[in-house]
Amino acid sequence: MKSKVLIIALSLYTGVSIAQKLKGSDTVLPLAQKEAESYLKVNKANKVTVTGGGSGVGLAALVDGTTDIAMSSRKIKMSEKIKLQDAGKASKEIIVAYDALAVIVNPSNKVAQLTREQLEGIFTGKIKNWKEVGGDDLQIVVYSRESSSGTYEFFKEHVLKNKNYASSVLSMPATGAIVQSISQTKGAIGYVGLAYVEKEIKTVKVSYDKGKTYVAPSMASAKDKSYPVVRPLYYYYLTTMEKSVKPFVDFCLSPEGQKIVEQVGYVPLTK
Amino acid sequence: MNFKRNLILTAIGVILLLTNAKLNAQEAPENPLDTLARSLQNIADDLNKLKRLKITGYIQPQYQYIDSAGAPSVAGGDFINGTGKYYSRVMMRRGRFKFTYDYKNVRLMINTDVTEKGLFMRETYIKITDTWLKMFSLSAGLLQDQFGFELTQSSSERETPERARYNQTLFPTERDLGVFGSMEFPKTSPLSGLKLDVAMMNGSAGVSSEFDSHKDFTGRLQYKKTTKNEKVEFGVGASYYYGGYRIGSVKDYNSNTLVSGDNGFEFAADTANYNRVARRIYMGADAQLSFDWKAGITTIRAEYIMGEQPGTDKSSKSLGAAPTSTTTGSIYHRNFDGAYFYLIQNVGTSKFQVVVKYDWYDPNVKISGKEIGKSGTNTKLADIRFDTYGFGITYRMNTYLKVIAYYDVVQNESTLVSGYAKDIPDNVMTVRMQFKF
Repeated sequence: MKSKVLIIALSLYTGVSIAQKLKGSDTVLPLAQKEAESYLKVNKANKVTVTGGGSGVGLAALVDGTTDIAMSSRKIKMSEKIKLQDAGKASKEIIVAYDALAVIVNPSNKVAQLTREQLEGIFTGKIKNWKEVGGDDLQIVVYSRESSSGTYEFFKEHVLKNKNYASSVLSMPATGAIVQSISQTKGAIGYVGLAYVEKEIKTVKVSYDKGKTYVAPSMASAKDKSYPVVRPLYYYYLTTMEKSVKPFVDFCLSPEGQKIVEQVGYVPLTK
Repeated sequence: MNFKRNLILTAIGVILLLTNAKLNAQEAPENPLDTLARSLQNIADDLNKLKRLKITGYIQPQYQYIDSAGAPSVAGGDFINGTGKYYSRVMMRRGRFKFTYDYKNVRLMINTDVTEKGLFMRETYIKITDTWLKMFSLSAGLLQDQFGFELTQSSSERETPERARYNQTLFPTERDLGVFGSMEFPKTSPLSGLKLDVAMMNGSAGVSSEFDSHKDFTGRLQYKKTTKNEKVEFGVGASYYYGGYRIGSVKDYNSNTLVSGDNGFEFAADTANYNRVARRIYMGADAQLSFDWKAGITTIRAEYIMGEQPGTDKSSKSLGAAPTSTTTGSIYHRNFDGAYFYLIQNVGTSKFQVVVKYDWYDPNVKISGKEIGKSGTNTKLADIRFDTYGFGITYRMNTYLKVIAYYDVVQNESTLVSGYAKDIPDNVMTVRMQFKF
């Protein structure tokens, strides 16, 4: 009788559904959604909800306790760490994938490659016309993410070398909106994660050695580290929540989860 | 006849039209999805209106124990000097309820304090932010004083129970009536991290209406930056206060070297003194550094202030009225200085935080020790320097609740002032709980 009760209790225990919430980076969003779909196929009793909003939104939700995992395309800020500590919380950082940031233009644009210096000139407003970089006599329309985006900050730091975006830059609330706008605007330029690259837009080769070599953003070039604009993508969770989030995080880091990373268009972790 | 017939026909037509409309409505009911969308839109509209109003706040009940009954204290006010042994007390140190209403670029804020002493208005103001650059704002009403770092830091976030003694003396309510402008450069600017605050205030500490028609000016320039690896954050600031009290007294005391050779107050009575402004001038500098390392986040803070402060023979505290001594009918001009140092250590990634603090306030830098209280120097209790060494530990249970245990070692100069020949027993232990919402 006792053993029966124990078995029932154990089966109830193992059968308890775990609900997990992921919130944050729009860049990580498509990856997390695919990972969640595959994870739920195997762990049917569990529930995972994934929402975007930006890295800052996700990390603020982690402080407030309104998400279990914060998705982020940048490292957690010092001010966010202090807020977490003030709330008596500590977080754990996990790199789930890498992302190659692609510079995109309208497919009708004949410019196929740009140096980092030229990109800096375009995004800071010094270069205003495509003819200045070998293109048609056409005004450049620059699109960027909003300043709360981790992608915005990464591009500023690594491509613009911390120089400021031109005030004429058009800020978009989501990556999808940048893709759509560039596909519809002849002189447009912007940047998106590799997973967002579609047929309606064209990627540009980038040079980080002042024009000696140009590399196209691709899975292969990101993997062999020849493409220079690559960044890690993070999950942050509270150390106290480790037990409940670990199965999902472990799945994302497993060979199966990393396969999904590649399918979505991001760069898997190398062992 | 024709008119009657036309009237009847028109009436029938209207009735038919109305009936038809009703029939059509019954025949083609609204799509359930449209109904749902409309309902959701209505809920969203109502929710957006409700979201304009935010209620936040915190309460701080605490237990305190002091070395001697009836001792003066800046740790929440003097202890009662009763007939018994009144060493300890339980009190509601703060009970803040803040109501914020945001509509577009305009904010209305009401901040109240509810304790056993009653209901007090701490802040009431309107703030307007520029819609173009979003870097300028203007506030008017009963506002927070803008001087230094500690004064502007919320009591709910401060790691110690109370502000440094000099802040409590020079800015006893931390509030004033006036206008306050702020300029903060956005993230996209090369000057990101730089903030300038300027204010024009009554100088009445917000506890009374304007009493002398003289306005005080405050300015604070600060810069804050974090390193690229998000491991180190630092900030620096400089503050300036220029104001004063228009006084009705012709008699005043100035710190000087007296004919006797002692340092003390020199008395002067001049009818030209009447209606002049006794200057309040403060200059301050502050710095903050936080770094994340193996032991947890460490924060170091320091601030120094110096200047001129008019007061009475008994106190150098800023008041909601011109400081005229009740006993001598005079005003006392003093040069002061003060400072604090904080060392805050988060214990790894645990819920514990330890803090060590040192602060001093010297209300009269021109006189010290046994010179104070000496016959003929006119120096008294208000000229004594205090040094405070504090240490404590905080346990942060969750986002809302924390408990702090803190001990203040308070030392005063040994003087010739009655009762202050040696350090008085006035160390205070505080155990405080805070719930913030």
